[in-house]
Amino acid sequence: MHMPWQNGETDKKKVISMSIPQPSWWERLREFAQNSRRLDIVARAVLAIFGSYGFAGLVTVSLSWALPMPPAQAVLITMMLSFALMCALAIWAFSAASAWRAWGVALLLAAIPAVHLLLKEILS
Amino acid sequence: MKALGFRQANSWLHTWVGLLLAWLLYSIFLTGTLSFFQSEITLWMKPELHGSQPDANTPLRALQAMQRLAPNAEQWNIVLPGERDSVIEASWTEPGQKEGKSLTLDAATGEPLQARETRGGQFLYRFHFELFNIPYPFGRWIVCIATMFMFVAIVSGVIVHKKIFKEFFTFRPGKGQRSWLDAHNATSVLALPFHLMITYSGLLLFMYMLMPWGVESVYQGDVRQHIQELGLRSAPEAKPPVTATGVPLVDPAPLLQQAEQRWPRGIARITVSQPGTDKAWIEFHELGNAQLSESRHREPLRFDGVTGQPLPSPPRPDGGTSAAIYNLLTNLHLLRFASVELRWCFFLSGLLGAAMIATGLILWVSKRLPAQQGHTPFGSRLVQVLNVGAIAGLPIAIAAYFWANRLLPVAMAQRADWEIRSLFTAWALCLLHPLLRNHRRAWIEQLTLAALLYAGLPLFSFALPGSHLFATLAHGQWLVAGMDLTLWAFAALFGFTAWKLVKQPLATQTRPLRKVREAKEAPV
Repeated sequence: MHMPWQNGETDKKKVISMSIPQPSWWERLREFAQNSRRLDIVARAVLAIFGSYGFAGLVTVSLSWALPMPPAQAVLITMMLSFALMCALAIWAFSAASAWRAWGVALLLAAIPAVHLLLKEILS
Repeated sequence: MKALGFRQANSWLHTWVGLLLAWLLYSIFLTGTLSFFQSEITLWMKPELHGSQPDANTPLRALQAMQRLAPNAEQWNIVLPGERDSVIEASWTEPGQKEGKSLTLDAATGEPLQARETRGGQFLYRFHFELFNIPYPFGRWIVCIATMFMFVAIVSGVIVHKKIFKEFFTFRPGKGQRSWLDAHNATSVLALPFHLMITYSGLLLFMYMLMPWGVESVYQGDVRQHIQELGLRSAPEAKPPVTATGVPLVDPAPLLQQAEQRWPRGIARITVSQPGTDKAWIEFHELGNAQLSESRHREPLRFDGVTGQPLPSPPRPDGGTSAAIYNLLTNLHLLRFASVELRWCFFLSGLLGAAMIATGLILWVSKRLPAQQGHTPFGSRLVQVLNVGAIAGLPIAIAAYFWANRLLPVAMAQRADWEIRSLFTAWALCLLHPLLRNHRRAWIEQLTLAALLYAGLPLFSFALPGSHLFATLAHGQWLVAGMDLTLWAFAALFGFTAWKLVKQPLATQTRPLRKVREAKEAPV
């Protein structure tokens, strides 16, 4: 059987690297995405700072319409609760097992008010 | 990446979210705590007003003074001396002019008093929620972002603690880092409800700026409409057109008597609308009467200005439970309608909050002492310098502000601005000084300076007749005497801390880990 290192290559490092299977570019990307600590922290921070604000905003608008009380009170109470929501999402962003999971759950939860508002737009 | 446990992850979060904006939060907390007494601080900074002594005839005197000063005004607003002020604050609007005028009147004579130009305690109050000299609205946004960081820090801090009640009673002094941890836990847990309330209500006070999307969507951005529907603020009352002028105002003495009989605590405010006309009315507000769930004093007494007959006050819309909750939290934050005892309780809790942030910062530094390497990494050195400059530096800067108030010539142009410049100059110097000294020296020097500055202020008052402790205590002028005594209490606190630091034997300062020392000594 003809092995690549039998081409007459004598450099030891090259022979060794030729015999270990190299990961493809997407395998390298996945490794980086899952194991880079810096990326993990940055992703969580973006979720905690900007994602939480967006999420709280969506829920505020959605609940302001959805709550069964006079509109003035509904708007007020959702505004007041929004900050607790922001904090909860920030804590989740850093407590989740991975940044991927943090973002995934956050996007899923954000889909609920988003869909509600979309339907409201379409049906009105 | 290895996943951290829930408490571990929150411990990391707590450290970083706490550290990043800690110096800003300490400044906000300290100036905010002082703002609980902003009226008293402003009064102390205007010694010309200290001679004013209110008595039973002050309300009548005030109305007579207004009759002399502004007989044709559209509205008189008179704030009578109460628990937090000993002078009459009168303001009025002339017909056709948008800008109102205001004067301070002596409570005993009704004559206008001219006090030195100063921003007083109000500067500290405004600094604490919008900082200084930062274009609107960026200062407020910075403070609000910091507040959110603080809230996350508090919540993650609570998550981190396993035995929150046990930590209430744990304090192990003299053990370096562990003592700082205990101090940080104790100051946090002792006033935890206060810290949670003050942080969250701080966000609520700016909620129309931070989270306007509900109002944008449901009210198309008409915030005023929303506020009026909730009864949070009354719509400005329309003034009925005047048909006759030169009508003398009814003698207020019997009306005042009625109000005082009904309200044993006294009258806080008098409003007279369109005096000297036939559509005039007089309204009295009771001192201290208000429910925390309301946004205004309840049930003012209103009388017709010509006949003296009682009139009904305009009705207020009911905002329901959500408005009551909003009012409750924001009134707690602003300490509206609060008694003297509650004000002091909140003041002490606020100081505990500032101590919580300070001990947290010192704890961070003490965990990273340069024992092993012998030199301090850049990050730790930066935190050390900022710690001294902020924790000890801000009190020094505020003392400089008070000293400038005492020393600058009364007739100086732009006096108030120069007082503020003194504060920031002193603060800048306090931030530069630790760069030139080692950590322990810097702390001792700044704390000693703070102690001397605060101790000197009440002593300097002996140069001001009527403002020093003998005079104020003799006349029962507790608003001023209390301030002087509190300044001395702070001086004692700083002095005691500096003394403890001086006494601390050098051996316990840097704590080399025993393992590292043994490893170095063991034969390799």
